[in-house]
Amino acid sequence: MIYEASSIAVGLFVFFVLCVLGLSAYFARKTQSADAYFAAGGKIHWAVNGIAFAGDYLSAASFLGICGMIAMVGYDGFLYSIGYLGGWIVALFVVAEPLKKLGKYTFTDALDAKFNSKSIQLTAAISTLVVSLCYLIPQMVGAGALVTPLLGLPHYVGVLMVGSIVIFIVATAGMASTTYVQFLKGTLLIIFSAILVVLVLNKGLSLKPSADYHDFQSMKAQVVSGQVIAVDNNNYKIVGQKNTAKNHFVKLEKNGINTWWNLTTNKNQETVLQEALSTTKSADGNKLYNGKAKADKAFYQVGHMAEIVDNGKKVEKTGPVGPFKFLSIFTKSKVTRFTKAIFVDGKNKVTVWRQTITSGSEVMRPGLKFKVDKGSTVMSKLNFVSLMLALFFGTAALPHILIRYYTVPSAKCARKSTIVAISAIGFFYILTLFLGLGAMAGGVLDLGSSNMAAPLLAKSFGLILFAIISAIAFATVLGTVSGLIVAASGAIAHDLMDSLFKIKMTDAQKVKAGKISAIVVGIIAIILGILFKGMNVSYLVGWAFAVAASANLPAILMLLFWKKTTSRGIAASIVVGMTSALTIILLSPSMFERYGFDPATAPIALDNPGIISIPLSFLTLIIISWLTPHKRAKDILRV
Amino acid sequence: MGKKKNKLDEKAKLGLVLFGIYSLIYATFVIINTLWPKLMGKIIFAGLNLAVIYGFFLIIAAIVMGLIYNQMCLKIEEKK
Repeated sequence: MIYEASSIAVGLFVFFVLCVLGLSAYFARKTQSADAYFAAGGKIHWAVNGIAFAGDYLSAASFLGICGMIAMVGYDGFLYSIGYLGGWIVALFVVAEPLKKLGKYTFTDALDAKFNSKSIQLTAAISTLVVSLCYLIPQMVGAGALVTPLLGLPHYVGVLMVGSIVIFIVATAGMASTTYVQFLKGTLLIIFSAILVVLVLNKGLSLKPSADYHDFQSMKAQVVSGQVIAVDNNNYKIVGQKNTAKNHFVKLEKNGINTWWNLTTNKNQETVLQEALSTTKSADGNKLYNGKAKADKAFYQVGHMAEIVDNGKKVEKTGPVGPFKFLSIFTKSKVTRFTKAIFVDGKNKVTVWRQTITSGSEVMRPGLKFKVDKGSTVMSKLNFVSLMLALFFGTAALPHILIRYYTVPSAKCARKSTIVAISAIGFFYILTLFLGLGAMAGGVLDLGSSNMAAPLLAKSFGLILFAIISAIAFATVLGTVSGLIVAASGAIAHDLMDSLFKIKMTDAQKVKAGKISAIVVGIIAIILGILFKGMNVSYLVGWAFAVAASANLPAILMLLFWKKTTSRGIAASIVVGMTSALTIILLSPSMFERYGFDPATAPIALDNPGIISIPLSFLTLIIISWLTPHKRAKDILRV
Repeated sequence: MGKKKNKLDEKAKLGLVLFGIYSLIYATFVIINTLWPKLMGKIIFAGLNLAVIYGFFLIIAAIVMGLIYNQMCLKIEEKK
């Protein structure tokens, strides 16, 4: 669809950016020592740190990605919310206090606290950089993708803009300014998401979500031997047909415009052609939307209820409803989803989204995305378990999250701030279910970009809310990228330069090294963000979780709870966890599909590596520690 | 020093117990989703199915268990 730049959105974004830059300039004067730069002097209040945790963690993947996924596949998207939140339990009950006690600036500090081992310093720093980079790329690509529709600017300008602002934030005041940007963003995100949910519930559900919602057409069709030979509308001419494994699509021409229709049966069991949405990409790169040029705005927004059942009666709309009533009605009703099919028509690549009426009970339970029900196999079920495992164990091992434990004064504050984070993030994740379902039935979906579900849902309630939500979406990227750059610059300046290579630096020089590292990492992030333009790289966030869970978590847990852990055991588990996770991902069926090969030929049938790589990393640590007993971790929790 | 040792130990043990309980609830959720996904569609209460109720429960349980953990840790720290 075509997005028009909103001057209110631009104005709010500029205002937010000025606030952020002002804040950074203010804190710059106070950031003179390495402690102030890498850990905000350890003086952040636990409540502020807790919300900053939320601001750091709720990245574009959470806000835009999960809402969009729920809008497309229902409950399966919400499973990400549950898994992401569950991970914080590991952080609170197992990791928070000991890590605060052991570390100084980075998670490598904590792992290496009892050893002073070069192999730990090197492997943990590399793991930090790999995880941070996997997380950074999608955030930067997302920044560019947001700027194009919302501010009317090219992709590279968006990436440059976000990159430059973030470099300024981090290079001026490091963790102090990053903390307050994340605090501001976390607060705004939760408040305005809650407002949006109240508006969704107040509107309720309706068969026609808005007065100008597209009126879908259908027409009777005559079929002989699987081929449509006539339709009962003289305005249309049959110009082609494409049969896929599951569907029959017919190309009709009217006034020189070609559109695609789906062959199906209606309520009366009559064979009909049903209007679908489509994009057609020609060999020369031209793209048509529903047969027309992009500027004609023919690619309308969709998503509506097909049948609403309230108190056992079919109704046209519900009016305002409470949160439980909303979910209950949704479960008993039917919704029109739009499912995608891709095929080649002559020299053109065609993507068709056909109407698929789905019962609410199916939408509200697992199975539409994850193959655990219809058409499931042992491997598809293992894939699901593996994903849920990585989400659960990944959070407490993400370096940019772990460094936030060093910004508070004590272990007690680290614990309290984690509880604040769990409450804020948990509340937000509950909201995502309502936001996603509201978008699914609210006639707001842009089928070309499901990530825009939440901002477009806001737009259906007015331009001001759209502008605010869009500005928050930018802030979301700023907050998370700042945290990632602090983590990566800490790995370079502190773990590698200071700890590993023993480069002698004064406190001021350490700050300078941190700032230069932040600028370098920021520039690399900008370059990658521009290079990866147009690629759907959201899977890289999954990589980050899988690598963090496989490389870092076994090392952290065993260091804390197994006295016989050795430095070589830790270093080996990081290397094995990281390489096994990455190898499985690179040889997985979904990556083979991206390479252009047949996914069935992939040597490893798993897409999510956690179920193999996490136990493998634990096993490596145990075996190597047994074989190298000379340098053990001692009794860390009792020190 | 000996006293401090025990306190840290006590909190770590408490954390591990609560972590174990939550992990068990989470694992049960994943197992039901994997092996009996249709069971998750069963209406349990107020028109809401097991999937929604269990999902909300996992989120709310994380918050409640966090608060309980903090209270218990504070008591352990007060004994000091």
